[in-house]
Amino acid sequence: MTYQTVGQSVARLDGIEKVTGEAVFVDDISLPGMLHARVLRSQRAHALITGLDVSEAMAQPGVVAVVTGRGLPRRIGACIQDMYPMAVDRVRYVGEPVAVVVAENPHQAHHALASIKVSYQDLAVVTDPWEASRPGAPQIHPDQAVYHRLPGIHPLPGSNIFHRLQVCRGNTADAFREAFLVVENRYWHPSIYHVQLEPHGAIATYHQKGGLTMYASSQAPYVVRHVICELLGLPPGRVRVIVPYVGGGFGGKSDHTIEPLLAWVARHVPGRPVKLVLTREEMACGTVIGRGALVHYRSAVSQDGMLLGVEAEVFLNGGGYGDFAVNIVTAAGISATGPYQVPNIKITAHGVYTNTPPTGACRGYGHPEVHWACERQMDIIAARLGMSPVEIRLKNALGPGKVNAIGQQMESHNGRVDLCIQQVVDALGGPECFLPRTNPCVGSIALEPGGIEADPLPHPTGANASPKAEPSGACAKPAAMPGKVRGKGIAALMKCPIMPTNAQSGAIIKLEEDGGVMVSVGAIEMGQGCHTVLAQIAAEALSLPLERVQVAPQVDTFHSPYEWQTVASHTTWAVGNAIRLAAAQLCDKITRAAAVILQVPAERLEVVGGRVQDRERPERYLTLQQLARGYTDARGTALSAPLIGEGNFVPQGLSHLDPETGQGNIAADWTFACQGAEVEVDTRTGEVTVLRLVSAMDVGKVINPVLAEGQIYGAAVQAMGAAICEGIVFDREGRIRNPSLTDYKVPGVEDMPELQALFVETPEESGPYGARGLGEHGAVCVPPAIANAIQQATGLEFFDLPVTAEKIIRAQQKRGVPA
Amino acid sequence: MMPLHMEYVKPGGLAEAVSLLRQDDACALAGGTDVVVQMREGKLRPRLVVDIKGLAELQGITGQSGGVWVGALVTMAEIVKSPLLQAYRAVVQGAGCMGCCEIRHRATIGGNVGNASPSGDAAVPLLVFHPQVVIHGPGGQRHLPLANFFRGAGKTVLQPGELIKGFLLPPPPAFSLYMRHTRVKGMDLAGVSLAAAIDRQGQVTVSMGAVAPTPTRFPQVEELLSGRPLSWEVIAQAAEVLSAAITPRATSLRATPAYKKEMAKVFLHTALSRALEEGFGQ
Repeated sequence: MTYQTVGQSVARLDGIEKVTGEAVFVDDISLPGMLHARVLRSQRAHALITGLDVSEAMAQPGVVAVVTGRGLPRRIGACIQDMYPMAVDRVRYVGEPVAVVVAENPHQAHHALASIKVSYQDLAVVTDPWEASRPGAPQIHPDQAVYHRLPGIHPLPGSNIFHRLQVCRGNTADAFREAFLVVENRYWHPSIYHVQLEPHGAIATYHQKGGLTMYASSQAPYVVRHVICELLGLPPGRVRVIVPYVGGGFGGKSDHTIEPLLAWVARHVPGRPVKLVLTREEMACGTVIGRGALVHYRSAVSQDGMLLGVEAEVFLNGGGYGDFAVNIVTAAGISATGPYQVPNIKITAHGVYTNTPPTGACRGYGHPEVHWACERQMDIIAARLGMSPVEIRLKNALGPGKVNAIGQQMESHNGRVDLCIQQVVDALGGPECFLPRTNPCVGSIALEPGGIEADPLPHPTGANASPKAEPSGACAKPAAMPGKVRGKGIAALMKCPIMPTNAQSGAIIKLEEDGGVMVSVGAIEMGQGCHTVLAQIAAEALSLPLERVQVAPQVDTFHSPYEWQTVASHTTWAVGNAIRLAAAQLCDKITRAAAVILQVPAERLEVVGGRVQDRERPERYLTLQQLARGYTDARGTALSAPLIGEGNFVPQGLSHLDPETGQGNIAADWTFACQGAEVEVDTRTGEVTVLRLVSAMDVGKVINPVLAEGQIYGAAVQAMGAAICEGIVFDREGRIRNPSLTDYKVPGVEDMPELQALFVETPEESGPYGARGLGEHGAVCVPPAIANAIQQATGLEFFDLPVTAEKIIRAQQKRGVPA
Repeated sequence: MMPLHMEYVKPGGLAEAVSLLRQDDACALAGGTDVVVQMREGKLRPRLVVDIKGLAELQGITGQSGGVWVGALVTMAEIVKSPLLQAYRAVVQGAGCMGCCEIRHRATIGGNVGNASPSGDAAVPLLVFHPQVVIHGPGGQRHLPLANFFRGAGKTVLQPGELIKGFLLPPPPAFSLYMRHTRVKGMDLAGVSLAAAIDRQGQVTVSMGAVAPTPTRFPQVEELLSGRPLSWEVIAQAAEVLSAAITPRATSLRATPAYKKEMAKVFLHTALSRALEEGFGQ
């Protein structure tokens, strides 16, 4: 199939605006009479509010209002209504909003915060999801039983577990009994920040006639609208949410964060816009954080390396409120076996309330947490069996005819993880770089049927609060000369979009009077380039040159078609499908209008290159411009009216998971990939240099190669941070010790490895031009690829992210290697 | 958030600067890479900010009786490029790794020393060159060795009205080196750092950052290593002494005490191996 625009690396449509600074973001917007809000945040992680006196703050210069949670009508939440937009009587994490000062300028608002008096009665604090899941842990939502929740969410009454998903297939007891080798370990992925360039911000006006208008830096204007409507009891037609350009989302601006809070605040100053833009430090504690998962993973393997069974328990940190994390729990549960066919499965994923900021969507959405376990496990198993990490993956890989953890059978159009693995291995130097260990570790392990266990990781307590012991590297290879050692590692992945079965996407295409088109979608351009890719899809579908296609840059719930939210790597796929449907409808309207004018049956007409023409006699045509301006005949009689195409897409045939077995058709499509790393470890300092990161991904048809590569590079580097340097540190009182970039380190330009993105293009039947999602996938298994490379280089096994220089030195000392 | 009520003055000369800095809650502003950050965080709440950037007396790098005069307002970027300072390699390395390119063009050596951070990337290597700090104040000018300048984390001997005019570096040593551990390769504060120098008489000087409240020299280690050929035995012994001598605080997020103690050994070993490779210390 040859395409005109699809498949081309066209320059992004918003590029010049963004590099010149002309692009408008929320904080660039200033409205007449605008007030400024600053938030007083709880300094206690778990406490009852026993007193709250704002009278002195009210008297400070410039202060217009001080808003508290008093009078909030109801709890909010899309899955579980377990939160108020600001604290009512009780705080559950450090950073939870307790009061908001609204003043004429931000300085006045900030300085008035100090005059608010709050008294607390402290409650016991727990920040670790595993500890919080134990009986006797401090109860964070004692009344969770009465919360309103969607069907399919299974809390454990009397505990902090707000959702538990089980995935069961076959009989794991038999599989583990018959296994040649059993490997069991615990893996920890700490909580991380998204570190969006643009902080969260919004401007809200509560109208004196009722209703609200909000500008927000959000991935989810329709979710925001819905939640505000529920909170304030307004109909959707009275709440307008406008999203200008967004400077990075990564899931941290999906669902809702500060918007319901600001809507509640604006309610108190009708007629005056109120702006709230967070500081970097507030983003850490005042929005959502990502990940935070303990995975206890047991694999049963045959002598020839076939996975016979997996038993896994996942404890995902939900933080103080679990609403945003419910579906992350589901995602982790259904993807815990990675891109492999496993006949016997027993996975339980728990979402656990703790006293940290709430966990929300974060690029990868449950998949990186469990792939960290699954893909480290594969290398450890390979080492135990004396098998190549490549071979064991290829042997177990999902593919056409195979069945995934939730019982879905893979079709040939679903993609090829085996090809991805081979491409990464070739790019890293070929299979000979991944030979089985010549000296497989047999000392501590009896290679006999009947259950062999590696030392499980002692459970990390208090999250990252205290250093955790690393298990000694059982497969230690003798230390080379002190200095630098290199290693290569791979990890493979499968990721599906996790979405409601009715996640809708709409598109509207207006024919403009120059014969070009204006495309409206509800998808947010947040740097990922989706508006460029969607324009390419529209241009292809309408046979127009790309210059004739515009995508409206602002999303406005008053005008833009509905979009569930810009998440789940589903925009190219779902909104692209909506655009193709809209384009088909527009072409249909064009040919029907032209049929009247040209006196040719509509079926004989086609829309090509800015014209509508007779297939049989192409010299008979109208330009789209002629039609769009309102075609008139010789007498001046109008023969055409404005032409607008609309497209509406919803994924087909999805269903809920079975509550007992976790089986069901919940995933609309899958993207398979493999990622590889080459690292250099300085054995004296423990410092890791990531030399190369290679990703091969079966994304189906690549719509825009340079943007697709950019997405993969960005995701890989973001995940490299989680692998070697990132992680939120909580102290015993639940305070974040590294809320700013001073002590939360993200990779910088000096850390950049050589990056490579390779594409396998198995066309996806359900995708536009065969395309699949790719935005998050590059972030899914970089940490295990890097840790596997470190294992090859040093013989040290790591179970605990990030793998820092300190941990490498500690593990070496424990093993007894002189530095 | 910046303080609500704050005055800003840019004095025309040194005398005016000194009289302004004598006022209560006055604070000198040079590159601003520490002061502005601390003001934003509310750790510093000056009522008067005295912008000393324009003071000519605090500028410049000039040769002076075999040594070098470095004005307090000299930026990290200027240090990196200065031909006169190349012989003081450790400080060039320290200045070259601080912050990022933009920060290195703002941050000054006087600011880095005056801020008295335990891990200052210019302060730690500067120590091994035995510089004199030249202080200007209401009572005129005074000199003191840099090692005596620090009084604690963020604390110095500077009195109200005093400011650092510059540094007098004696003739350069034969060898010097600075190294540090950071969590990422780019912009980070040193988790632990070490500078070492060997002069033509074989006198060794060693300083470390982020292991004590101030950048610190280690006379017992220097004594062990000085005035004799460096053997592997001596180096190993000195590394143990250095490691035992430091008592880093346990609460740092940048490196644990155990790691710092290990790196004290590794860094000293690396620095002295490098000296031997380059033909010094025999």
